[in-house]
Amino acid sequence: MIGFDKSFLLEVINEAPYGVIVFDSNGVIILENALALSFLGTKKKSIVNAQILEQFDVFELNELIELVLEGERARFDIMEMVFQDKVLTIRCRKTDNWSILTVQDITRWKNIEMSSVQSIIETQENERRRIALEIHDGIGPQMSSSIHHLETIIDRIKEKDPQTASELQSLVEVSNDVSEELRSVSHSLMPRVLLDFGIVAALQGLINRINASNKCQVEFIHSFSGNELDQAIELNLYRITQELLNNGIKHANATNIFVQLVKNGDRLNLMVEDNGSGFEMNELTDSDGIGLSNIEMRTKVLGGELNIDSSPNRGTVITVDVLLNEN
Amino acid sequence: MKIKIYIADDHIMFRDGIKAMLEPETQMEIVGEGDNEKKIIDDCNNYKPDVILMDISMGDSDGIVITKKLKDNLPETKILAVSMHNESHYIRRMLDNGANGYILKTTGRNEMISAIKAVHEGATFLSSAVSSNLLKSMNQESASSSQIRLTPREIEVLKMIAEEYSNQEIAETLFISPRTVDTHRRNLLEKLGLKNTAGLVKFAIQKGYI
Repeated sequence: MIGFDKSFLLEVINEAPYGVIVFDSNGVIILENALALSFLGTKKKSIVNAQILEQFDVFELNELIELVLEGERARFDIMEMVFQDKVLTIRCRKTDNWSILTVQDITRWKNIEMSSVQSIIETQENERRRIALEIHDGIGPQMSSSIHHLETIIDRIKEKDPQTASELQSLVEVSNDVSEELRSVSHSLMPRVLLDFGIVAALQGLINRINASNKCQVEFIHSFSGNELDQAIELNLYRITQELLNNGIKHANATNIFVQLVKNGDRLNLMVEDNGSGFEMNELTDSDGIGLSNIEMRTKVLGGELNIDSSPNRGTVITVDVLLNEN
Repeated sequence: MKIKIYIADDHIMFRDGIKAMLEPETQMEIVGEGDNEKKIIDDCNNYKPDVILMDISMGDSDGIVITKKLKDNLPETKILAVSMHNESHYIRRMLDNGANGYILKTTGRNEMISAIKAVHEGATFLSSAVSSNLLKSMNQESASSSQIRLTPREIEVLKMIAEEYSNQEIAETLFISPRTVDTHRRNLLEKLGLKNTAGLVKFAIQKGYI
């Protein structure tokens, strides 16, 4: 069937750094190497003569293999597929009589990628925290005391020199605005209340501010006091919610949003439902995509699961499920 | 008798601002200042001030904790919180621990002087922003504890569960994924304190949803 000596061929593919499986147009396996067997986690010595569709119990992959068998496709690449405890890259190429499937283990790279994402997020958050505290505990009070100094001077001169006093008074007003601005910058960088009182207090504060702006009515429902969580979980969940509320209000023009935080045994579920314009999952624009990919990253860092349901004119429901470590 | 005032704040500039501000007030006198827990507690036990102006976030020292410790020892001393924080959690913790008033650092001069006088006379003084945040949080608390809120979609899911639709059918009708239906189901059970689908059906009937 092949123009080479079979033992020579086996020797070559056994040296290849990929798992290799060759199957015919009926899906019957005609050749495999040891690495392929090890990725499949099978105890069998060989899967030659077995059916390729019965090897990986992954719907997404089998669907593509079927298309190849039916002659609808000549090739496919799945860059990331979770299989058992590994992340695999699977490529398939069809020739006239058979198809070659290669399997590459990228688990190690995914782990490295994840830990670098994690460290980027951590560095960024630490920096935000540092700047926020600097503003909140340093520049803010200094600003206030300058204003107090000014007010003391105004009080002293207002009878002798009302003109200067009123000029200084407008300086006080401007300074008060600056002070308010500083507060809000510091707050959006890192809400102190999150560090001191936890996720429920921080989300309530965030939602109160949104409601006060009258752009959108947000309701917050939570089933636990929320003071017992790990700070990294709280911070990531807070950022995810912040991003989701922002998406709902700015992009989807939602007028009503429900935010729920429900603890269920050792699982914590964040659910954000909006009545906004919704979207077709495959028609996300780049900027929406960035927002969602941030959420995806943070969910992954938490070891959680993200689920997005949306369709045009039916709003969006996004859930993040996180497993809590009970220790 | 002058009102003896102690300033507990970790920013020298802020303390200086207060001193300058209170200087023209002939009936007030600053007896000391401190920027950390140990010094503040030692000083106050020595000087026995009438009013302490207490910051909350002072680096490693926490004004909320210091207030509690001081109030145990010096119940007569009035403590006026002067903070950058205007979130209800800080306000409540401070008042729970015995503070007699709470104003923001952005409070103007006149209000600060009124606040010192008020707490010295035994009244409670809250800046208007402070009291409105406090009220808001109390309203939210009574609203959330009096009833369990279900979202409109949860009610839809609940109705369909009670009418014995499958997850798949509910998902198709409501344009959501079966996984989200399942999350709704779990959240409903948790929020309503129920154990199983039978409980959900009973609840839906009791509430007249079906």
